[in-house]
Amino acid sequence: MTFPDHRASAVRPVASPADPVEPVEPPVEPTVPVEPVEPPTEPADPAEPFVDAAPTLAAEPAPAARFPIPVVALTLMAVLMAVATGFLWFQVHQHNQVDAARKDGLAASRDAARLLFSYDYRTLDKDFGTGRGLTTGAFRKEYDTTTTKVVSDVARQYKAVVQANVVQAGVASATQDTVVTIVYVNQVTTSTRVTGQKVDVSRVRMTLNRVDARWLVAKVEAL
Amino acid sequence: MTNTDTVAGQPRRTPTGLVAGLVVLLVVLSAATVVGAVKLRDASERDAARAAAVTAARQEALNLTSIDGRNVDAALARVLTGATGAFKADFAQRAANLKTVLTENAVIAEGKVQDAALVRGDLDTATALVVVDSTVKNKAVPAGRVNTYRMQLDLERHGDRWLTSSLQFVS
Repeated sequence: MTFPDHRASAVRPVASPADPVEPVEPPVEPTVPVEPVEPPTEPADPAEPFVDAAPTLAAEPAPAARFPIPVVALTLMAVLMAVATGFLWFQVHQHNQVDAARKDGLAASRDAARLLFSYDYRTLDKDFGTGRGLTTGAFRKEYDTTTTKVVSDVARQYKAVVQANVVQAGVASATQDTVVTIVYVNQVTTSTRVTGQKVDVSRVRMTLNRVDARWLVAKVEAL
Repeated sequence: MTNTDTVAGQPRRTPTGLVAGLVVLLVVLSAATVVGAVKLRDASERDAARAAAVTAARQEALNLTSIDGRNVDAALARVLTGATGAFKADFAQRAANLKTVLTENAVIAEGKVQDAALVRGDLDTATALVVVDSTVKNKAVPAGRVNTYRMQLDLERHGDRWLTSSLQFVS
């Protein structure tokens, strides 16, 4: 701590009105030399400059008197410019986030469509377990209900194997946390009910939400 | 900090180091502002291009699936207005045939766009999907029948307009 030194040497030309304002200092000064290595003083140390700075600043006539006008002007400009720049870059950042959401949400949507609409009667538990992991919110319950109460029985009964292919997909809308996609799906089905293969073409709208850096399906609508 | 301030304040002269530092800071901030503004403008232009491309794709899909057999010329002209390149040439070539078929069968088709999406897009080109249902009435089916379509359109920007250069029904 060097401030006792220049306090002593500081026979400031404009200091006379400041003197009476410094009753805070005496208690501070003794504490510093008394306990240099004592742990209790350590938390007090960082506070000292602040305790000291407040009255010192208040005692000065005005900042302008200490900082020349060019410095004040430049500082103000820098602050204003920093705020403006920060605002701009925040918006750029948000755009980038939405662009990333578009890309990642669309990729996740393609994968999810393929997995959600495919199943094999021999591996239903695994298939629906995988599918379930790609869902979120109310749609997860809906998926559970549909797969366990409807699809499973029918699939086993007719030995159904359904392979879903994503023919094409695009982004209908996107924000940082929600992406809506349109997916053209073709489902190729083999079962004891059909001879050969049956192909179902469909148009699906999927809503995906970002949940902990993953894009999960929150809604599926057949159009 | 406190020390420097006090020391600097005493002689009350312009601290050249501080001024130089602030000037450097301002220059850096100016550069960051310019770069940020350019990036933001580019991003906004990409957004606008994407939106305009999808709007044009919706319109073209709607025009193609909304045709009144009593006024085929106007319907075909609308499609050609939004078309360019191979799609335009192809459609223009079929127009005469189409007109005959649509007129003779008294076709009235009413398209409805269910939704649309962007597969990819930049400032000048885009690929869009348009999901369309069309209610088609004709002599054979006077009550009308709903056709469902999965369309994929490639679009190009011509000035401030987006035109369809390729249109396919995705099977």
